[in-house]
Amino acid sequence: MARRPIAGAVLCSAVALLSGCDATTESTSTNAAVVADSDGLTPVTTDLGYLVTLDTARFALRDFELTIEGEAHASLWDRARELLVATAHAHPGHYAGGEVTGELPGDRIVTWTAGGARAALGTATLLEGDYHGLNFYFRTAGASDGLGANDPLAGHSAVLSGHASKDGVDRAFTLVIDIDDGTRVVGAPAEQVVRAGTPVTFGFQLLTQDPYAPGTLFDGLDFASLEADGPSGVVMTPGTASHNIFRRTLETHDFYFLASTTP
Amino acid sequence: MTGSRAVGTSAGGRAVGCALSLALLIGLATIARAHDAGGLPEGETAAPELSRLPELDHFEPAEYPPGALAAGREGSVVLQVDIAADGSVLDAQVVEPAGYGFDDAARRAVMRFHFRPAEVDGEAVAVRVTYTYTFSIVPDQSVPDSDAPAPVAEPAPVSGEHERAAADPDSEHRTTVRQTGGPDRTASARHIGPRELSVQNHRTAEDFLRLAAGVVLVQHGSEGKGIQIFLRGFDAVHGQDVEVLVAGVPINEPSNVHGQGYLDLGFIIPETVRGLDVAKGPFRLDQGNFATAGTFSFELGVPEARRGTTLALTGGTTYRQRGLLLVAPRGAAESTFVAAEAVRDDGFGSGRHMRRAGATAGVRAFDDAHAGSLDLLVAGAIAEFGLPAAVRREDVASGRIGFYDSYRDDTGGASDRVLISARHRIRRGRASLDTLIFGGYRRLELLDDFTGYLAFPIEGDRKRQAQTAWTGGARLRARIGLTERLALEVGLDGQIDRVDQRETRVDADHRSFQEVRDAEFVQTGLAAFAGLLWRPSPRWRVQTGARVDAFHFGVHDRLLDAARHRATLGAVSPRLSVGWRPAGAWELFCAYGRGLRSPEARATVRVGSGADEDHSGFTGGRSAVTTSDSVEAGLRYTPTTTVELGLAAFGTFIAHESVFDHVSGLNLELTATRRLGAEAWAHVTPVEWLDLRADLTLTDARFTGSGHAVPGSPRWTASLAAAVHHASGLRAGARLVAIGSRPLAYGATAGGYALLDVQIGYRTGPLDLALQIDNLTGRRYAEGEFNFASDWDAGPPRSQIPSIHDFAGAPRTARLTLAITL
Repeated sequence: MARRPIAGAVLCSAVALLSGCDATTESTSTNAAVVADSDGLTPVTTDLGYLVTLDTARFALRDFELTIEGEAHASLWDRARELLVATAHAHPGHYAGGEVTGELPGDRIVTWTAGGARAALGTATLLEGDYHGLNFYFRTAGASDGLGANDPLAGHSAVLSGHASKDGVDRAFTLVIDIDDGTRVVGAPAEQVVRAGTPVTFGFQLLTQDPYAPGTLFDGLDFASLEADGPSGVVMTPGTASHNIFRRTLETHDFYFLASTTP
Repeated sequence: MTGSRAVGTSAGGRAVGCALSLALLIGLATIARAHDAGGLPEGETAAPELSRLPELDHFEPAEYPPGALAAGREGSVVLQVDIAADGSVLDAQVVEPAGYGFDDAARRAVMRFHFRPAEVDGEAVAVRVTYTYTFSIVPDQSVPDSDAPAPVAEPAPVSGEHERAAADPDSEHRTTVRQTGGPDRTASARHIGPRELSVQNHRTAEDFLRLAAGVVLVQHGSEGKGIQIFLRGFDAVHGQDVEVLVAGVPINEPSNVHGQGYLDLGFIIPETVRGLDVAKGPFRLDQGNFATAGTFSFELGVPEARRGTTLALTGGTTYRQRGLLLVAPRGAAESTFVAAEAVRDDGFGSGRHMRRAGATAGVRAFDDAHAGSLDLLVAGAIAEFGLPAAVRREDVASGRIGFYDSYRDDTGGASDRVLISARHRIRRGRASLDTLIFGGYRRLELLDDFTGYLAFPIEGDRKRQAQTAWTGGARLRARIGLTERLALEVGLDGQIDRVDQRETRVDADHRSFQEVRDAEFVQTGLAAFAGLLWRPSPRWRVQTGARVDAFHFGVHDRLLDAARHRATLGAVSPRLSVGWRPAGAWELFCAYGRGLRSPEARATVRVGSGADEDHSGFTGGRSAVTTSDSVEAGLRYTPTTTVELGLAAFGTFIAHESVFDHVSGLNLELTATRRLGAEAWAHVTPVEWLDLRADLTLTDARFTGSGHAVPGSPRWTASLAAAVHHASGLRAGARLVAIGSRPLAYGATAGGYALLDVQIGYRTGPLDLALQIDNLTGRRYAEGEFNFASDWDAGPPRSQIPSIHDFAGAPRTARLTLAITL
C-alpha cells in the first residue's frame, strides 16, 4: 500500500532535483556612446532681464553614473510632473536613490559650443534598462587633462563664456567656477531605453533653460555688477557672491539632461 | 452460560451485541478532566488548536444483521465520520468494511449519532473522525457497553494538521480526529505539531519555518543574525512582512536599525517548541503589524511524551558543540519547564562562527475552575556571531575568493534578549478571555560590510549598527457566544517600544568616520478589532470584522536637530473568511484581508521640512502605513483521515508601498505590485508510523506598471518529505526541498537548487541518539543571490555596475546528539 506513494515521491524528487538546477544569469550588459551635446545652449532671458547667449562651456567632470528609475521612484516622478514642478519643493531629484546600472568612469573635460559638433566623451557600460537619471562629479582641471598653464580652465572646475544683453548694452562674460572636488550632481534627467543589440548614443546636454520650471541657468546673476575684464567684457571669479550663487545652480541637476541623440 | 443469543436494543427484542469500540472517544477523558477542573487544557494557546475532541452524546444502536447473527458472525466496521460544528453527523463512509451486512447497519446507526462538538479555543468546529463500530455477540447483555475502557489520550499532544491521534491502550483501535473546519481556518492555514517538528533538521528554531510550504529563508551572515524571509512573493527582508509570535508575544522589532520588523529567533530553544501555527495572508482579525504576507506563531511547551529531565549533548561537523538541559516535570502542564542551552559553532566557512547561550522557563502558576489558568514565561539569550556577507560570483569564478570565504575577517555581531510574559485565560460558558502581558529588553550590534570600498575608497564601507530597545505591551482577546451559531470576537493590542539606535561608518580600525544615524524614539502601537463568527448552518462558517491600528511616533533624531518629531498614523483593515463543506470530503474556503506594516520611526522625520531648507533635492515622501489587500480561495479534500489534499490560490495587491531607504535616508514610494500564486499540498499516512508530505508553490510577483518581476522571490518551491515514527523507538526523516529560479534586480536571475536533509534517531529507555545531516548530497549552492555593486579592491577603478553576489548555503553538515531523559 505504501509503495505507490513512495515511488511517486522518488519520481517527484528526481524531477525536482533536475528542475531545481536552473543556472544563474547575470544582467545583460551593453555599451553606449556618450557625446557632449550642445543643443541645450539656447539664448535665454533671465529673471533680471538679461538676454544671455552662451557660446562655450567647459566643465571638468568625472565618473558618470547612469541610473534607472527603478520601481521606487516612478510614482514620485509622475506626481511631480503632474504638479508641473511649480515650486522648488517639487523639483526633480527623485533619482537620489536611483539605482546605478550604467557608468562612464574616469576624468573628462566636457566642452559645449553653441552650434558646435558633438564631441565624444567615451563609451559607457550599461545594463539593459530604462534610463532616467544621470549622476556625475565635479573636479578641478589640471595638467593631467592636457591643459596648458594658460588655459582658463586649469585649476578650476568650469568656465563659461558668452554674451549678456540688457537695455541695449551687450556684455561679453567669462564665468570661472570652482567647485569642491567630488561634489556630486545627482539625478539629472535622462530618457533612454537601452537594450542589447540596439545601438544607443547619449547626448549629455547643458541646459540654459530649466525644462520643468520657469527658470534659467543664469537667474540671479547681475552681469552689470560683475568685474570688468577689459573694455567689453566682464568676468566672475571664485570667492564672490555671484560666484557662489552660480556655483549652487551648477551643483543642482536642473540644467543637465542626458538625451537620446544620434552619433 | 455463553449462548449464541445476540443482544441488542431493537424493538424486536433481539439484542444486538454491540460492544462498543469507542475509540472515537479516546482522549476525551483527559480533555474532560481538564475542563472539569475548570481550566483550559494545558498548553492551549491563542493559535487555533483542537482543544476538545468530539464527545458522543447520543448513541444509536445498530441492528445486528440477522444473517450474521444467525451465522454467529462478529465484525468491526471502520467508518469515517464527518461531524459538523453543531455536533450533527454530516456524513459517514465505510473505510474498512466487515461485510455480512455489518457495513450498512453501522452506517445507518452512525448517521443518527449526535456529538458534543469538537472545539478550538472554545469554539465548536467541524471534525472528521475515524470510528470503529464493533458487532459482537455478548451473552446476556442487552445494552451497549457504555463502560468501554476509559479513553486515554495519547501522550502526544494535539497537533499535526490539527490532528489528534488517540489510542486506547486496552484495544487495538487507534482513532484519528482531524479538524475539518475552525473559526480561524483558511485554505492554507496549517498547524505543525511536535510529530512533524521532531523530524525536521534544525540548528535553530528558525529552521522550523521551512516546514511551511513556499517559505524560503536566507541567512546573510551566520547563525545568530536574523534571517531573510520570502513568502508568497514577498521579500519580507528581515521580517517587515511576516509577523512572528512566540507564546503569543510579538517578536518583530519595529524600526530596528537593521531593518523594519527585524526578527531574531535564535533565543528560542528548539526543544521547547511544541507547535507552529502558520497563517498565510492577513485573514485573521488578530493578525497585526507586519502580517502582510502572513503570521507564524511558535507555541512553547514540552509534551508529556518528552517530559522528564533531559540532558543532551550535540557534536557536529563545523565543530559544533551544544549542551541542553531540559527539566519538565512529568504530570505538570506542558507550559511548565526549564530549558537551558549553550552552543558554539565555527561555521562552514570563514567569518561564520557563532556562540550562544540561552534559557527559557515557563510555569503554569494556577489552573482552576474559577480563576482560569495563568502561564508565566521568561526567556533570555546572549549571542555573538560572525558576518561574512556575500561574495561576488565573478570573484569566486576567478579564484579571487573561495565560495565559503569572506572578504572581511573583522565583521560580526552580538545579540541579547530578555523576554517575559504572563498569560491568563479563562472561560465561562460561551465566553472566553485571553489576556497577555509582555515585556522585554533587546540589544543588537552589527558590524558588516557588503560593498567593500565602493562608497568609501579609503576607509572602506564597514558600518556599525547598534540599538537597545525596551518593549512592553498587552494583548486581550475575548470571544463571546451570543447564540448557538453566533459569536462575537473582540481584541485589544497595545505595545510600546523605546529604542535608542545608532549607525556609523567605521574604518579598518573600527573608528567612526561618519555618523549615519543617531536617534532615540518611542513608538506606540494600539489596535482594536471586532468581528463576528457566524455559522448559519453546520456546513457554513463566516467570520468577518475589522481592525483598526494606530501608531504614534516620537522621534529625536540627534543628527537633525534637538526637537522631538511626532507623528500619528493609522489604518483600518477589514477581514472576511468563509468556509463551506458541500460534501463530506470537501471543504471550500475563500478569504479577504487587508494587511498592514507601520513605517519606520525614523521615516516620520521629514528631512527638509523647514521653511529655509534647500529644496533643490528631493527630500523624501511622507511616511505612511503600507496596506496590502489579499485574497485566497482554496479547497481541501480529505477522503480519509489518513489522506489530505489541498489547493489554494492567492493574490496580494499593494497600491502604494512606503519604504524607508536607509542609504539615502529618504522615504520612497514603490510602484504598485501584485503577487499571484497557488499552492498545493498532500499529506498521506499510509501506515500509522509513516507520514508522507508534498507541497508545491507557484508565485508570480510583479510591479504592475512596468511588469518587472519583484526581485528575490522564487517562482516556485516544492518539497517532499517522509517521516517515520515507529513504535520500536526508531524515527527518521528525509526532506527534499527544491527552490526554483528567482528573479533579481536589473534583469538577472538567480539559479534554483535542491537540497536533501535527512535524519535518523532511536530511542530506547532513557537514551536517545539522533543524527541529522543537512545537504546530504553535498551540493554547493547559493542560499541567497543578490545583484548589487561592490568593490573589494581598494583604489580605482571602481565599477558601479551591479554584479551577482552569493550568500553560500551550508555544505553537507552533520550533527549527532545523545540525550538521556530521566
